[in-house]
Amino acid sequence: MTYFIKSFPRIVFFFCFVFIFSGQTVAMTASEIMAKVDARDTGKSSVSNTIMILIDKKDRKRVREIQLFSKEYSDVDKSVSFFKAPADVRGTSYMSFNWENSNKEDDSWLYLPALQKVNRIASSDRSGSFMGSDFTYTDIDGFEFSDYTYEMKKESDIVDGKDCWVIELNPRSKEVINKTGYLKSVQWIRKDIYFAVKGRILVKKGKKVKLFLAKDLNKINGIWTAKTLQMITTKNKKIQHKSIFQLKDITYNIPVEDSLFATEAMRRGL
Amino acid sequence: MNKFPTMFANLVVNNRIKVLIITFILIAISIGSIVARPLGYNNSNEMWFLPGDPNLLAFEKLQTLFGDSEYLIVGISARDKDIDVFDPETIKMIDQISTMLEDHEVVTQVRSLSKYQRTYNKNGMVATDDLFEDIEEVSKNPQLSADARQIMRGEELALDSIITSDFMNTRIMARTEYRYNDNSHKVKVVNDLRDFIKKNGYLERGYDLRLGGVPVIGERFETLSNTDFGWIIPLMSFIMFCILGLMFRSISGMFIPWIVIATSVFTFQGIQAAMGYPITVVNQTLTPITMLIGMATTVHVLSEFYGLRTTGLDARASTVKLIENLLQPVFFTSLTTAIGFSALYVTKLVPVREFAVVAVTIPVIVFIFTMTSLPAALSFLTRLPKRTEGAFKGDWLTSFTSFLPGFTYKYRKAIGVLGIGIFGFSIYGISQINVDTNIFKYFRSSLKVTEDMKYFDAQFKGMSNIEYLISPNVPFVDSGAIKQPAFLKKVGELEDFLEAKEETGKALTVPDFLKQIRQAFSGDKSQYYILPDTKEMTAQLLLLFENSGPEEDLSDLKDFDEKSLRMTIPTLNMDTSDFNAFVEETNYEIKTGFPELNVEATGPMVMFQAQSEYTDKGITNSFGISLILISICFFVLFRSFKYGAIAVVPSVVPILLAGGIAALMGKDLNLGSLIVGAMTMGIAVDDSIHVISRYRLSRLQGNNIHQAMARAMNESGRAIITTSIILVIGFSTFLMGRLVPMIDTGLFSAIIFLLALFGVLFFIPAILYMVDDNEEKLAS
Repeated sequence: MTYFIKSFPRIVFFFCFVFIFSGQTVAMTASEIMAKVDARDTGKSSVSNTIMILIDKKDRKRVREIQLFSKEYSDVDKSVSFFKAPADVRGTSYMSFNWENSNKEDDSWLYLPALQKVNRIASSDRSGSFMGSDFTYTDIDGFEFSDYTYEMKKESDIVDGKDCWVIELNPRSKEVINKTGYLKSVQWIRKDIYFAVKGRILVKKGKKVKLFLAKDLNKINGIWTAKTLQMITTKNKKIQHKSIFQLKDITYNIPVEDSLFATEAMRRGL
Repeated sequence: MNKFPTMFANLVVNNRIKVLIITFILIAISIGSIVARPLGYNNSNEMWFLPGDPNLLAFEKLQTLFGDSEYLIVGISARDKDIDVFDPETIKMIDQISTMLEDHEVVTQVRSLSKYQRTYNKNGMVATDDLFEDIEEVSKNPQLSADARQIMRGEELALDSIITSDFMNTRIMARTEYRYNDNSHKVKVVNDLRDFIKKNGYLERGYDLRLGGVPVIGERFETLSNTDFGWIIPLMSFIMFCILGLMFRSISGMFIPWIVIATSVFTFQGIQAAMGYPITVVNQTLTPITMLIGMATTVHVLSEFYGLRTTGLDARASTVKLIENLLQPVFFTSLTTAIGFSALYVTKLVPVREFAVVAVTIPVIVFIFTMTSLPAALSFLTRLPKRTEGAFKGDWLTSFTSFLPGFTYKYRKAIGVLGIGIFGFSIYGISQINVDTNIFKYFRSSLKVTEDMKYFDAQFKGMSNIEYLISPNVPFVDSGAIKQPAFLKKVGELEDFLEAKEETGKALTVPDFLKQIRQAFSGDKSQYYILPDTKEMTAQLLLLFENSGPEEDLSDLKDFDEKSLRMTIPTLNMDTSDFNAFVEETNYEIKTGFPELNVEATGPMVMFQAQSEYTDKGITNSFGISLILISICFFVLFRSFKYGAIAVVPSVVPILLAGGIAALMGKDLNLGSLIVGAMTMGIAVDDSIHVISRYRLSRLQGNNIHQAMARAMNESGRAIITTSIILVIGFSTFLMGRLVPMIDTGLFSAIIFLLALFGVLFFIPAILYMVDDNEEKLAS
């Protein structure tokens, strides 16, 4: 299942949890609700442009702009992202293959134009920060639905005027905690579109709490998409760092060349 | 003017119940103020500096650019039975302590062996991996320790920073939250750590854990202050009770002075609380100082009261008379004491200024209560105990004070010559004075905290740092200026240059990380342990580092806008003079050798250096101003330059002599001794005022010099000796403390008051005899 976002490449065009309308909003268990959230149509492909804003506790901002291409295959989700700004990282690209087989480790590559070299990146630690942001690879790539137990904490709570379920996710094993870096989390799921609009995550290390928010929800090409995602890291109720992903544009289900997902394409650039 | 004391005395005595009620109301208000705004502790580096001070601005810049800059450090040595610190039990302990600190509310980052991550090339992949993937596995699989050893041998970033090259010592560095002018969070984190160490029985398992860093200094200062004063003040009170008992031989005489003392202590603390001044290393002694000043003043009043009672006057009449007799001298003694304290305001150090503001109110408060509440209470003492009466009519003190005038007259010339010799010696001695305000010297050498500092000096070249803020010496308007290769190269050279010095330890900088990342990206080939070639390469390597998922975010090494770098250079603990020379030389070398860099030095060591400079100037200026103002006060009081000078000299010489002796013994002055000069002068001259006032009064009433001196000694000698004994013994109790500034305040004050007593009892009479006797002879 996707924790908040599924896979970095999808971060832009799958900022969302896809709406699967069943018309049935009563007498569902927390697990059933989360299964519906997880069972989403993420589109077969997408092209998008995103702005990543990193904000420190003194409210200073650093901005990066990325273009992403993604395509879903039967056994793997492939994505490649190209940095467009700032100027000194322009042309840097990151490619990731997320294999459906959970026993197979995902593959990642990074191309640095200044060194004109593509290098594989280890992707074993999913709890690490993603590109220096408050999102981790766990947030980006997601993890297994079966890794968690789900508990309904509140049947109804209003977020931005919308009725939500409040569901607690508890890891089934210590391994899951070690893998994700999260002790547990609480998510607010919008009842009308099965969309996680808010989250509160207890981080394993440092007694930190991360606060997630999905805003500016729009239906694009038939897929509900959050145009703004925000993650705030706090400790002792004080903000340490904040990251915002702003989706400038996205197009779902358009043709994306297979050749784009190769190291040669990374070197070639946009 | 002559009518005023009588009028005032009658007003107090006629309204004595109202006076006592008002006193209790004032105590209640003061207690209310203290409860409403409890006094907190502060010993931060920045609290010393006035707004706009360049040292403060540099420190604030460090905070703004790089965030929290203070570290709690835990030093760990390998046990005798272990080969090195890679013993599985040691690794587990390091992990437990690291986790405890990481989870702590005031800790924002932890660097340690158990949390160490290395960036390297893993089978063709750039990876940032934990040195120990699973700590629990280390004890089951000895190979993991062996692997870790092997890895660490090549980890330039960690060697001599996190772990010593011989692997026998390691340290955990917890970056703690910076809170402006607050010490409570430092106390909390250090105490929590101590409790954790105790609970887990690490010491019993053979580990000698060393604690250091700014939070530890803050916690030790507050804890030791509290515990020391927790028993020093009761001890001082007990001694005062005993002295009062010996002096006045009555229960009332032992207890009544506490009306003034308690009222004064509560009132000044209430004022301090209302002004929001925290307790600092400078003002921590204000409570005992207030007790001593209060006691010294009330002894004069009680002596006068019981003396008058023995002449046959009743309690009310004695009270009126004592106010008439003492209102002016006590006013002037309080005034001179207040002047002594106020002179400290000339320093540039904020806590000293705060000390001056609060301290100046103390003699005023004492004066008010001594001349109102105390007489009001005394007027109710209708019974004069036989023992008290007997003591005042003839005991050893009476005999001694009667003996003094004859002795000093006989040996006046010898005493005079001795005085000139002492003066000369003092002048030479004080020219040798050295000031050292290094906070690491605040503690007795026998304390664990001092031992731990020596440990960090020996193993990691110190735990106190010089912080260098480095930016390109050309105006860069855009972000990311630090990515320029030429700039990074110069920073690397500066790092090498600074690390090569004998006094410094190893720094951890962004160029170090960049070299490691480039090497990892280039297949871990050693020839690529070099800096980036272009600005773009720097930016991309940093992006690669961020993307390899490290816990290290470099936020304390480069500023968020990437316009400045920070270089933290551990520095050996040195005397201020050695450190000054080191900094001056280094700054010159940086300026001439690295003109491309804009380098600004700050951090605790640099701030101590500035404190020393300000303290040095503060001692001279405050002492000088105090001397001038008190001299003016004397000239006004005695309406005579001659008597003014005679009163001042015996009070000043002991201070110079004490300073001179200290200097010749190689003892440095610190923040504690800074306040002593001006403070003791203000108090020591009180005795001169009492003696010369009575002498002058007697002379004006037509008595000759022998009669006048006998009266002055008989009437004020008992009180002077008693107050001096109280002051000397009272300040001597500070010697049992564990904080050096407090010990030095006590040591210097006790010596000065003892010398001042000799000055008043021997030198003032000798000088008066020489001067007035000659005049009398000339006149006749």
